[in-house]
Amino acid sequence: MINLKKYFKTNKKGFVLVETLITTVFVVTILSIIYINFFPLIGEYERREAYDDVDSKYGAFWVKRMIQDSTFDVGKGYRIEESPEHSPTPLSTIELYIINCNSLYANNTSEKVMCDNLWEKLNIKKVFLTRYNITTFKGRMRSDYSDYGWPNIRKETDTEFKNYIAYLPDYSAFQSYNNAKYRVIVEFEHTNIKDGAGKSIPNYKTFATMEVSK
Amino acid sequence: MRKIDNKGMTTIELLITFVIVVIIVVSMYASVSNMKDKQTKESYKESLITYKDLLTRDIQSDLIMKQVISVNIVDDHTVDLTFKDGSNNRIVINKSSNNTLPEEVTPCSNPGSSTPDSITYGGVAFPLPDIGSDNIEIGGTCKKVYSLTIGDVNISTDNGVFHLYVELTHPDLGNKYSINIVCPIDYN
Repeated sequence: MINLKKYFKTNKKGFVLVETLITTVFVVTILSIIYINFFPLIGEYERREAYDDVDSKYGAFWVKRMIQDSTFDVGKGYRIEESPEHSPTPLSTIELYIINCNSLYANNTSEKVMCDNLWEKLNIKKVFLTRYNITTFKGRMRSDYSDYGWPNIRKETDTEFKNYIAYLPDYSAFQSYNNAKYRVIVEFEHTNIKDGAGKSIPNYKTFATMEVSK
Repeated sequence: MRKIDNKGMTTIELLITFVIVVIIVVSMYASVSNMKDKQTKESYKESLITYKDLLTRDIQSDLIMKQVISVNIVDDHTVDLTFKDGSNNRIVINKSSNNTLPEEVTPCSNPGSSTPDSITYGGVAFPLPDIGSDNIEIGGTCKKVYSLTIGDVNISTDNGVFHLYVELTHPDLGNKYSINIVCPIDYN
């Protein structure tokens, strides 16, 4: 049995090299663990910069206004697949419509021309319409619509879109103050972006959502 | 009386510790320096995004709440907006010639006064934030040249859509945070 009192009284040598090395390795391991856990947060922070920024929010606002003001009937069902054998599907079944200016306005009307021009200037790539409460929709996106057989949705929704949907809340805790039943999710693709040296950088996407009272 | 061991560290222990510390410092230098650059860029980005957000909100809230009914493009850098309540607001893009760099850049000290590029909306000037500058000799005079400048400006009213694009360029941030205001005209 070691006499601790005696040990501390007599052992005044300080740290030996092996003790210093063990401490160093221990500290390095802890720092590595912190770094490994901290690093993905930087990526997450950068990704969230593309969510609901001011330009995208105003863009989504104008899309919402057009959906509300047009004759587009959400309850009537929508032909989600291009092929004519697919009959119009109600939103309660599919949870997601992919719409464009043709869906909102009849061809060649001044509204349709204005809509196309507005969407182009806003850099809108895709417009998705879903229900206000996106709990079911989020579940389907997580499973990649694998059980539902709508290849168009799988084709049109990429990883960036899925990340945005995963980031969004369910909107299930409270009803909309405006009694909105639907939600528009707009995907923007920004082109002709240059870095500080004037070189072109790859296109990037931003996303925004707004409730739709229809 | 017992003799106390006060020898402390030996030379070899000191050397090994010193080598370990040097290795750690050298290996961390690049990442620390990288993080410092990133932090500077982030602070630039934050200033620029705040500027862009404030100006965009000011203009867009008028376009939406007061409802723009007509847009008159006065020249390449000036546009008049008329709202439903009869009021008018003018947007002017002010590009300072001081911020145009000459082909050969000569640094200098003690610059004279200079103003950053700015955007005026409804009579209120919104000068671009000062996120870096250089003192450069232009035409024999030492001038302060701001890093953040206004580049291309595009104003259009095609097919009933008002579009104002003001390119904001910065050597570190590029033109990603430019101003892009789009709104239908006389939308009911």
